[in-house]
Amino acid sequence: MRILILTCFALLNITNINNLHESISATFNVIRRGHVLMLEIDFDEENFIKFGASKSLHVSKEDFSKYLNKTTSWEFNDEKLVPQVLEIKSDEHHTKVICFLSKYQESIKSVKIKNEFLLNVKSHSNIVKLDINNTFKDYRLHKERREIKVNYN
Amino acid sequence: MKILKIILVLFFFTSTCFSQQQSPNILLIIADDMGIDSTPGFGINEDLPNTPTLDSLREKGLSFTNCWAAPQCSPTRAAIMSGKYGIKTGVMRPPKILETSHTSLFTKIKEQSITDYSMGLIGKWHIGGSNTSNYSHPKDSGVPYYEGVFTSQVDDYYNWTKVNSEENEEQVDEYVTTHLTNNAISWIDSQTKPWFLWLAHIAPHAPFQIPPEGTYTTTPSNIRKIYLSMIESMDYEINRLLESIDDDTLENTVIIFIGDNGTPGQANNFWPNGHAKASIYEGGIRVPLIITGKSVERVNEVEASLVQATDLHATILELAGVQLLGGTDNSLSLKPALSFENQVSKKINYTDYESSNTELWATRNDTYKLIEDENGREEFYNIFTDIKEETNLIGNLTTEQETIKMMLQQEAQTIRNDWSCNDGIKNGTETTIDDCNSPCETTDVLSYDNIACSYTPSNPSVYYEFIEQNDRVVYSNNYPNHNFNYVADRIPNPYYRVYKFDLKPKLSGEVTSLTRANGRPVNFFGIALNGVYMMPAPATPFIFEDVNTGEYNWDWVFEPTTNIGDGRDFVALDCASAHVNPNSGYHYHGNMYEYVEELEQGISTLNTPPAEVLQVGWAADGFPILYRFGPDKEGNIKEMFPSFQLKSGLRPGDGISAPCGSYSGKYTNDFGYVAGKGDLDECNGIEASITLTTAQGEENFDYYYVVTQDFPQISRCIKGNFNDSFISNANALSGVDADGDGFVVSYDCDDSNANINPFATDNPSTSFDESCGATLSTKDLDLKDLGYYINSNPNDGHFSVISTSLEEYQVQLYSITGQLVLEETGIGVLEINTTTNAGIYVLNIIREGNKLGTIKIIIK
Repeated sequence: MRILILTCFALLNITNINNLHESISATFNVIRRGHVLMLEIDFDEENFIKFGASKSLHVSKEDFSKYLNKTTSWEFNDEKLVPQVLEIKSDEHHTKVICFLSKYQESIKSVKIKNEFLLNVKSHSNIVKLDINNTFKDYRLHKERREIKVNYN
Repeated sequence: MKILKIILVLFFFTSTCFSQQQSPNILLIIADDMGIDSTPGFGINEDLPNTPTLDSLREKGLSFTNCWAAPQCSPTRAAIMSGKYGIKTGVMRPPKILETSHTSLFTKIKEQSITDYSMGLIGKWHIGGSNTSNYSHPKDSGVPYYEGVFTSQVDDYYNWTKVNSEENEEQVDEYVTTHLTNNAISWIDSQTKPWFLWLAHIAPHAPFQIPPEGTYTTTPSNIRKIYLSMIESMDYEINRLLESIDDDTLENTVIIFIGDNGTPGQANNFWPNGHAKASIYEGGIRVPLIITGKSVERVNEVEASLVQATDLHATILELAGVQLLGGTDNSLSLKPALSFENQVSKKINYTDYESSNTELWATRNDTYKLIEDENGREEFYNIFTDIKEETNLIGNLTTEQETIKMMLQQEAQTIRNDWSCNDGIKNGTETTIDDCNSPCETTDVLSYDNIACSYTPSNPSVYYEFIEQNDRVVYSNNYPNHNFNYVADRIPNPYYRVYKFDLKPKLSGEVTSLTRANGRPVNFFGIALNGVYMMPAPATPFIFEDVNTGEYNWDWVFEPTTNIGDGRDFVALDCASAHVNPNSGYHYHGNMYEYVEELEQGISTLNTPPAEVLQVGWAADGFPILYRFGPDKEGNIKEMFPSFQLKSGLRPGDGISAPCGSYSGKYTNDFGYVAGKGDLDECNGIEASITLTTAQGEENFDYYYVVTQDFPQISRCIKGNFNDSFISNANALSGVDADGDGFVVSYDCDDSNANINPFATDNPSTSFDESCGATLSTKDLDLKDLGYYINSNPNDGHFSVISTSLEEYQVQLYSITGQLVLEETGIGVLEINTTTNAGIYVLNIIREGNKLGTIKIIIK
């Protein structure tokens, strides 16, 4: 059985953009999923295409990988990991990138992250979330704070 | 702006009415010369009086075990009356006069409270000097009604002189405690409006005389026992007073009991010699303080924070409805502590005294106490382990103790010469509470301005409800059916989700938060009937950020309902108190003005209850969500008010890792739940029977939630069984809606024709199934949606299969001709190394014997 509750078909077009203030940020979610450590990145597609050395009007795996490796570094237990881009999903304005970091290590004692992703965009900041070791920490990085070191001891 | 004005007008109207209706009566009872060693329930001494009335007050309220007073009566009374320490008023010993230039508590209540209080002072005055021909009379301090004793004591409890408001004297032969109680009973009985009575007993001050038979139980065999029997008699009379007050009046009365200084030396059997009354040791200054009755939410609790008799000045002012910034002068309001723990922000206590023409003073933190005098004498004690102060540590201090001593010394000098920056009070030249040399100099800026909506929807708004077994199921594209606005480029786009929740919800007996234990939002609260989800808790970047490390402190998240508008540090909510998250669509954070006005014009500003309630959505546990109005337990429709209030005083933070300054409403944690304050519970819901006409016909519920005008507007928790489909990061439906009818391809049997979708009506003249068979069910998901990836593809024969699942799985690689090339089983990452020829292959992923999906692999 199905019942219609509500539907609206308003077909007027949006004609302009209202540039109200907001904080511009990309998020980098380091998270244990199953037996692997993943990095999930959300960012503004337009900013990446304009300022992130993209060769096309879309975010490609190759361009993104190069830019990510150039602007960020990821060290876990003093071992440098290179994110492997697995998937890129874009909607009209935002892009989500799924990266593989490594097989999951049961005890991560130290994390060192450098992140200058899109810091050439005015007021841009990068929010790094660490959902590992059964704890959750998150940090905001920006032009004045480009690196964090987290000790889990 | 219009909405803001309406809110402000409503707020002013409701808060004014509320204060008039709720103004409590205030009964302050001061015992004369009664230390904690002579009061049951304060943890020291075993030789105690029987005080069933005081015991009962303790059991019904809050006991303060670290309350200091001055060592003698006049300084303590002057401190309560003025809100200032002796060093500020000059009343550091009896019988000094409290000059009328120090505005009295009575005058402040009269001039500053919005309630017209009746006020009286019955009993000992003793801040009017000792010159019998030129006393400073209570009426000079704004006391409108007085009868009692001007001097420090009576010579005979059964034959004494009483003075009244007209300065007439009367000789009385009734036992003082009994007589003063009779006066109090009579005065209270004659009041017709809220009242404040300062009842200052003479007992158990010397002379030590056996009280009337039947009012005590301890055999008065020596001075100590007589002293205890006098306390028992006072306890008896306090009970008689309370019994005389009718139930309604008593229920609206807050009762404060305090001793003015410690036990006198003649009656002392606990403290070392010289450490009782008239000394600045604990035996002279540690007094019992009990607050109970109206406004006291903490029942049978002990508050061990550092408080001072002086604090009663601000406490009584706030109880009488005078708004203070922490307190006034040296007086910190204890009112917040009556409802919540950890509200006393004073970290260093202070008292002073004058003895033998020498000023002396004491300061303490939780553990250590420093006594100083103007001649440079110093004593330093660990009063946590040495409450009798028998071991002076001066001359043998550790580095830590030396540091603490210096800190106490510095604080004492600040208090004596200026105003403390650590007392939780806006005093001196401070612009806000304790802003001197602190990182809390900035004042929180709040925003109540919703951003006007300039845009109309360009997509259909789809809310499609159906029943599946015991669940109500909603397919939604989370797209508004009303005007909206957006910030930067965050245009609302359809965000497709399926929500399931109990068709017949039941209270679970538990409260499920919408946030993780650490404050991070994790769950949606519910879904509105236009398909837009409700997610009141804020996310990054609206979180307090550690100044040094950049780490977010999720205990302190910006409250969206007080940070509404556009601008730095504001959440930017539009005319429906909604905005857009990247990748997760448009959602409501608070009062959904624009949406509810679409449903029923005028409902958001209605001043009287409507004839019928307005349902605006379903919570994640299946209970309905109403807007503002709902039936009470008797079935009467009324506006439902939440039970939260802004905390008062200072936040505990240091301004570096957590915010400091006064609770302003900037952060969600600035508000506290006060059971019974309003109609609704901690989840903004109420257990009341309600019948609603829904998509399923008439349905009955025993509980419902309300979107309220005031904080929290949308609940931050649920009380039924939370359904995981409301977890914020649960999978949205992937796929496109090519025909723009609001249904993604997996839910639309023809995504090329907008006239064919589950909403459509079957046309009997065609052979098409326009309504898609009227069924919705679980759809096959892409392997990536199930968490299986290939790294990389195309490849050279060496690649990885990555699973984000915990489960073991199997991969099978087949050639294009169907020949099995290899087979691997494992968890997490499976490394595939094949030397097979370049070409196209097919990889099957299998879990628990079921094929989850197939991926084409290209080997170069």
